[in-house]
Amino acid sequence: MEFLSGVSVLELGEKFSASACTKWMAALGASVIKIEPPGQGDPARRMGPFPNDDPHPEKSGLFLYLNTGKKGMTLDIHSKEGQAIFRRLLSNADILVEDLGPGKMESLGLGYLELEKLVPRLIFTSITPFGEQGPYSHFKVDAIVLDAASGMMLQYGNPEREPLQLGGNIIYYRAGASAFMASLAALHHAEASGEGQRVEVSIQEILLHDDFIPVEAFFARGEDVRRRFAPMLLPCEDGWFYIRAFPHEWPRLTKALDLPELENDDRFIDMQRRSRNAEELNAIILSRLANKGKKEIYDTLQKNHVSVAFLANVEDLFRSEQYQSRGYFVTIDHPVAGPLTYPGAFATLGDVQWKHGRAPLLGEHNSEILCEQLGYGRQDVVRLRQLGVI
Amino acid sequence: MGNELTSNSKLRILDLSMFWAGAACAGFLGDLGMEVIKIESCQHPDPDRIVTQGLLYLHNELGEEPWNRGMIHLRRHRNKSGITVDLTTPEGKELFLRLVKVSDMVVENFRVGVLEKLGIAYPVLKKVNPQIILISVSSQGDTGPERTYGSNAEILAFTSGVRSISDYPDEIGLFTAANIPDPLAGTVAAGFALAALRHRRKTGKGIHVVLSQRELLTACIGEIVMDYPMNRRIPQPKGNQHSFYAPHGCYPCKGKDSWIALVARDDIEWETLCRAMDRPELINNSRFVGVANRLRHREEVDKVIASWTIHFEKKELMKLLQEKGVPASALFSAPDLVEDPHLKASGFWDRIDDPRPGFGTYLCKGRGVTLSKTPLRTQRRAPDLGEHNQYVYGTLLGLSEQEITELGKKGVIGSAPAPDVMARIPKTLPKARR
Repeated sequence: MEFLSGVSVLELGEKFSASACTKWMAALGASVIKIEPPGQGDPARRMGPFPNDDPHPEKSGLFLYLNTGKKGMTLDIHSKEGQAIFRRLLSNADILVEDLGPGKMESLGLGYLELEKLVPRLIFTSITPFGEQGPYSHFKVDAIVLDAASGMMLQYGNPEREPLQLGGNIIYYRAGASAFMASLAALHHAEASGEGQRVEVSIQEILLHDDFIPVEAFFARGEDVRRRFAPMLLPCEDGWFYIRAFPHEWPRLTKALDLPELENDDRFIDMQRRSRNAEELNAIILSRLANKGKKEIYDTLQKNHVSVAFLANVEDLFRSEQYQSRGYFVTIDHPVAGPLTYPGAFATLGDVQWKHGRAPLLGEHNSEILCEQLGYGRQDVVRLRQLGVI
Repeated sequence: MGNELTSNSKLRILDLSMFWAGAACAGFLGDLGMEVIKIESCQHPDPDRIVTQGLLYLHNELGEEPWNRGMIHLRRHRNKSGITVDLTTPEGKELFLRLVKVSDMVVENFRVGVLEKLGIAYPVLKKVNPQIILISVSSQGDTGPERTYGSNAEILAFTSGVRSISDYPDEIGLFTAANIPDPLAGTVAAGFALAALRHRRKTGKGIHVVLSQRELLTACIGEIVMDYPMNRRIPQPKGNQHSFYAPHGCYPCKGKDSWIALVARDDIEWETLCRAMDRPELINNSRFVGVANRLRHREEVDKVIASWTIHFEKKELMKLLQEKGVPASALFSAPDLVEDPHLKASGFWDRIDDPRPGFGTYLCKGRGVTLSKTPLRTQRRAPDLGEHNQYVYGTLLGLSEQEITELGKKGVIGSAPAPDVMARIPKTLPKARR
């Protein structure tokens, strides 16, 4: 039995975060049905990477990755008939996760107040850029806009240059993580009480919640903390490494460098002096390490319990003995895209399995869901297809 | 029903975490109404009490007990009680195991191997309480050659690959930012903790869940990682550029370090932007028609925009562009966010009233998640060091007054940091800027 065996989830995801949320639910054993608009499907299908850079709606790395382990159906929730099918699907569902935008479900007559009447134990989770209400709730956004609005962007980059966005779609995964956690909290309550509820995630607020110290620095002292230099990012033979020596790690660092006399050297005796004399210190460190490889430096210092990193690119991840030994990357076959390598389980769950399924084809499970779950006939399916409902 | 405590109040969580990731996990469970007991020792209090990052103490005052005033501590440990116990002593270990017996879950984020060293690894806990759930928010997972390696948020950003795609295209940035990794891991771990509780309800079995923070972070750039096996391509940093959209980036506004982020994702948004800039002639300029052309002439597009945005105050420009229908936001600073009307209206800020002298009313960041029937409220402020020793050891474990006093005398429990820890607490603080 998996953690979420027997839990039914419906997903209406077009902005990656709902997809990330239900991807992890599927990995824990929930049955997830992803509902896509007929025709083009989830916009993620049009985004790469694609094998051999050849765009194809069934070969998008983004879509394939975000939708592992789900069943897929197409449904036009703008049509009356589509809404009727959606309502019938909901009556079997525990959790609905959507990121279509604030007010969208209400405008279709599928708002929480309507659906709650239909399915009182329903958990209805919405992920929106700025929440459902408030002056910015209807702002037009993209990832970089949310990065800016959450305060995160001003904290990231070279202080003498323009601030930087976080790469990729990380902020959407981050929002999906909160929706995942909050939905399971609601499920926890629903299974004890029979009572469902509305769950709302604001991406701006989630990212601001994650802020490290700037808000507290402002509250405490009126400071306006912004992006800053990291003094100990240093070049080595094949790349870069970064030392974040906390005070208690200083003796360990001097030992790892085989420079014990440095430990009580006046120039570097505390954090203030180490950062004031950073150039001198860096030169000394480089004299010991510059001709070594990034991974060797990482291993050596980590084994001495010094907080160190190396700048890992994607190739380094595939070469990582740690990832290899844990079987982190998995090969998942797919009828159109073929076997591809995916990042897999990031946790071990005792003797409970992490489920690795593939992403669905567009509308792949229409017949199965309509006929077997909802009792429609084969002819209904043909008719719905002709009408463009599925 | 309708009481946030109905399904959670019977659950007891022991939080052994230090710093952030595990503490965030247990914090969410506390926000949900579970009883969370934060476990520290006088010898090793949570470092955030002692060298609190940025030397941020409430109202910028050290007070008589600075270790109870760290602002990161006050935010991160809301809805927890706090006890002390020195786990390196036999008495301390025994007390902890007695607590495990009457608890449902233990959350920890030690370096892999520390629990074994303390003699409280999962098999030991399981022997004491077969139904116990152990959530390890580890750095690398508990297997593999690097299992004992440590990390913090900055380090994870490097080793996970995230940093390799978040940079300027022309510079290995000598800078840092530590935001997402810890709270991300804490959030996901709390989700796994809730799922593990469900599993226990269904099967009667406890379990040890071990999360790898590094792997989780790589999972959040999964599709980018897949470019390598698909196309043998090592994805490179693109600064603020976007693969499909132009313009896309941040542009200077009036004032020092003042910026606006904006994007035009299609011709309609581009035309809207041109009209907003009062440059309608750009719409039919063949160099900028269609996203492919704009991507090709991206630098030129950026120059045109930057020469326009520089004349505006950032928030004024955000308002103007949003009214016209261009996705845009000012780059908010912390002071901007605290004053922001949207966040005030949405009820983001968490107001905490602490009647004790020198504390008073203060604001903490909210949670970004709302649950309509089981709201996440702050039911109790963050605990002082050892504040709930009496309740936990007396009421919960049934120790006598004398036994508790004895433990205090031996230094197994207490409510003040040990002298060597005390010595690391700053004596003065930087002056407030207002």
